[in-house]
Amino acid sequence: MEGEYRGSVEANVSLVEGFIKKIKDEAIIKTFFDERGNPRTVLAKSQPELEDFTGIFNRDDLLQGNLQSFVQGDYTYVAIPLHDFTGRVFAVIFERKNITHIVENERKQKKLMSFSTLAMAIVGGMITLLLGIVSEQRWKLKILDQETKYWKLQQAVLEVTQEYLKGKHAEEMYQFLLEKAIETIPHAQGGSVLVKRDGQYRYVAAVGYDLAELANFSFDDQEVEECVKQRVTLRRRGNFPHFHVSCIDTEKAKKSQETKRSPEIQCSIVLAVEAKGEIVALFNIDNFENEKAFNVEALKTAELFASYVGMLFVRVQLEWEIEKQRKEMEYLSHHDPLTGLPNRRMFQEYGEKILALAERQKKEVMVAFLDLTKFKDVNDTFGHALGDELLKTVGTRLAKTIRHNDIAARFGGDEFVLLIYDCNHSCAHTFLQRVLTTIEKPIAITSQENVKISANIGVAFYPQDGTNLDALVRAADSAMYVAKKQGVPLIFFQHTDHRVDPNR
Amino acid sequence: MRSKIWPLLAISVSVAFLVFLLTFFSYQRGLNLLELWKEEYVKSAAENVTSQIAFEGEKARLVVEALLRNREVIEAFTRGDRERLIELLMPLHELYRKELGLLQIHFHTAEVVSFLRTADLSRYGDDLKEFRKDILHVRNTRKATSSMSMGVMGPNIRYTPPS
Repeated sequence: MEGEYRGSVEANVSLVEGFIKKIKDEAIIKTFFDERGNPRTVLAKSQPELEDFTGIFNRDDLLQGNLQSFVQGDYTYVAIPLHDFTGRVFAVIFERKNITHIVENERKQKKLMSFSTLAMAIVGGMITLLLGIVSEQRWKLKILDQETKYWKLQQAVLEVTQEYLKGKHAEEMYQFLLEKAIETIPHAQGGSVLVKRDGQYRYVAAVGYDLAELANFSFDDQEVEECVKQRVTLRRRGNFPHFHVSCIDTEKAKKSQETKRSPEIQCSIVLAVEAKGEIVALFNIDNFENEKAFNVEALKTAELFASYVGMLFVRVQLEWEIEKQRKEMEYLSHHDPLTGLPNRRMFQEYGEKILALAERQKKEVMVAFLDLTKFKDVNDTFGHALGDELLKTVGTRLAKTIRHNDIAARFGGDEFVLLIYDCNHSCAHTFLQRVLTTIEKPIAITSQENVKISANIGVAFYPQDGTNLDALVRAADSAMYVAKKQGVPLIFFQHTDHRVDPNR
Repeated sequence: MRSKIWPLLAISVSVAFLVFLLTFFSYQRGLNLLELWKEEYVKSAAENVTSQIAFEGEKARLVVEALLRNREVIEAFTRGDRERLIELLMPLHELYRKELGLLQIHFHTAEVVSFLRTADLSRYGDDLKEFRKDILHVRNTRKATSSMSMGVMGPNIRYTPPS
């Protein structure tokens, strides 16, 4: 980016393609303000209409670029203004999420509380002051206890997120989360975590079980779906003929029941953690003493835990996705996308290391520049698609001809360059004859037709023909040019008159 | 006997009222707690969307940085060789479109004139100065910008560095 300004390049990525289409289970609507400032719908993914949102949010605040979020009824509403380069708000993303599971809790709580208020007032008045105080104290303690637990839970998830972002290993994260879940969910005594990897759910953490033993078992999508019908499932001994994740009636499951402490389990909560509409993990939380140990409070806490952890998983998945794409980009920046061979950049980086090694070990290095003959004819006769296939075949053949530590790169078009370590004139001659024989083998271009191509090869050696990579490639290129002109397959740079313009 | 009923009744009513007040106070605390959950939930939902938007921006940046590392692409652009650039870019355009939801790669000259749009090869040579203030900014500052805009196919995120 230094020096003369040549222009600029941009990549446009669609927000619609990129992430809005990925949201499967949430109602979302996006509206965009046109030039007159009126909203218009671009994409609606579910039932809510534009008016559901525009009536709720403060339009002036949105136009000033303020993010707004709040809860109304059974939904959370989020409005995120998007700014253009000048800072003007040109669009707003509205998102609506169903939080019925939380609101239902609220309603139940309210109902319970209203009833309790009235009942306690009457009972308190009718019976004794002492009873009233005791009862009140119980409520107060219960609420305080509940508040402390939720606070702990929130802190735990926050802590895990921070630890993950600092680079903590995922396995430790699951173990930590499981321990926190057992600590927070009332009457939980043990449990295990299964995480989906390569299409199979495998045990990655356990408390009260032998993880090494559990690690021998895995379950597929169908098996898990049979067992887990909703986000939080409560299972009690006696209610189900098959129990726990091993409710699946297979030999494998039965065997896993024997190895686990399954017979001891009295009741269990199975939490399905969902991210982007898919079950990504299962938390089994168990009690070994009482089949009615898990009450409404325990389930409520478990459900809240599952929704927090779901969000954490979405973030973790995003991080993984970025990492994966970064690696793919890294690969593409070093390889030719057509043949999969290293490109000029990788050749340069790797070649310099090879030359440094050769200098230290006093070895020779051969650089061979190959230009395919008759390739243009194939392209003109059979078209570019078959021409590309031919290049792929040549690329594969060259890659098979060289040793693991040597390099065959595609420089563009029908030009390939080989860099062979510890190779002198006689070795080069034998080796390049083999390369030519390999290239000249017929290539099936269609079901009926084979084509036969060859190559002109120019060869240069380190250190005789050049001491740096650029000079060696230029020398090999100019030798190849001579070979092409003379119509011979192979020429060594030293056998040319050295007057070929390397900058041609 | 009658005189004893009134104090008892008064105590009962007072107790009932006191218990009512205390229970109501606990009830309010319970509701506050639920409000806190909901606030946390909505906050997380907003953060989630914001980080996903940032992620889309990251994709655009990855694409452009991969292109800028590609010497052949840069050389073809410097030479003004559109044909070569098309040959090099179209396979990448297809790949990024499938993998990353890329809409297009767009090259602009130093004069802020469109040089190549991979989404529409027939459209080039148009002057962008009037409506692409972000490119002018890149030219003036020689610094990369990341911006959002409304395109034909909906909103998009673009990343534009100087080359």
